[in-house]
Amino acid sequence: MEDPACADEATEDAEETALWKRFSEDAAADVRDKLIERYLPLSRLIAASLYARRVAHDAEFADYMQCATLGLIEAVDKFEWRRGVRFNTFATYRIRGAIQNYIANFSERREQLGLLHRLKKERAESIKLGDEALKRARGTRTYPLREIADMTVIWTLSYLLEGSGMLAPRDNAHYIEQFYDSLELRRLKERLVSLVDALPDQERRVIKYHYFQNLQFIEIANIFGVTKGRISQIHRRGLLLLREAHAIAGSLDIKL
Amino acid sequence: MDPISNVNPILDAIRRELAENIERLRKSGRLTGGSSSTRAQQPAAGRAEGLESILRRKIGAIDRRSPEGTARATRAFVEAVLIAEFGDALLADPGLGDLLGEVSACLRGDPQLCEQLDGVLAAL
Repeated sequence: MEDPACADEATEDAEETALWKRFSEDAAADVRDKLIERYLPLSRLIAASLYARRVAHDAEFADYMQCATLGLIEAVDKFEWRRGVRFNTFATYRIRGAIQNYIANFSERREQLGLLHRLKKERAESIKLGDEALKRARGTRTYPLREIADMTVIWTLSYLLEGSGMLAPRDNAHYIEQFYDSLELRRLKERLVSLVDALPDQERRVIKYHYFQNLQFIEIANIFGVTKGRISQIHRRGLLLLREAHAIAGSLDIKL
Repeated sequence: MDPISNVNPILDAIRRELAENIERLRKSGRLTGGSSSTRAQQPAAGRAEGLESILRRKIGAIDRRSPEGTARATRAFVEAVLIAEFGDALLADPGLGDLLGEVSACLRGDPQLCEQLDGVLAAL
């Protein structure tokens, strides 16, 4: 017997496809409204999730919702359903982007977030930069799974180092661990931060300037007297070496 | 005859330098943190095969035709990779959800990477 939940899902999918098909044919306003209405819960969910993790507390949830809705409308207008991509996936990044753009442009206190946004952006570009020399040195041909898994780890290292300049050391005499503390991630962050000192000089300095002092690549490039692109390469290599260092430290832990 | 080595001398030298520096940090008491998981401390060699079969099991169980299927598969991919790299003690950390969300968003945020990832997920 057919599962009623599956049947409902199939009906929903068929309705959705029909709406997109109609909208792509004549861009009718009523179909557009239906599509927007259909995905409003998604934009609300994303707004709520970002609002819950906000850094500055002077923004209202209504502002987040407004940006999310604008992002959703833009996503509906730009979506090409024939490409076979899920709208939810496509819209999620548009909505998040709309909210993040809003945050980045929001008054004086946004200046700092604007900087963090720029730092994140250049990190992303640096991580994507294929380090062919390093791949050759490794002597192996990467295959997609390994490549994406490596990229995932490097993104994670970058994320964990973010804001690590503010990682306060714990006063063990006074601090009582709470069961809900983010203990394992904190330990991992502490380990990574301490391992930065094990990196070769150039990589260590770039990682410290960028993550601990929040300097942009161009500012570090001026200090080093090299190009921004070169700093981007050193940054990426620093993260790759940090990964190596973490593995080496782990194997040394076992020996002890 | 010497066996053919796949160890690159430059990388080998960098690793030696890293190990010496780490040892110095440890002796001076400046190496802090670390995982409580023993799995995180296993050497990286041979992880790729293990990871692939874990991914097949985890991602194979997700219905990717469902509306949230792609997002769930991406999250499962990131989770499996991070557990293989940093150990399963991460699973008990309340901050893991945010981390998975952030890293998944980074992967999905780049169209080229997104396409590659979809290819990998489809092949699993």
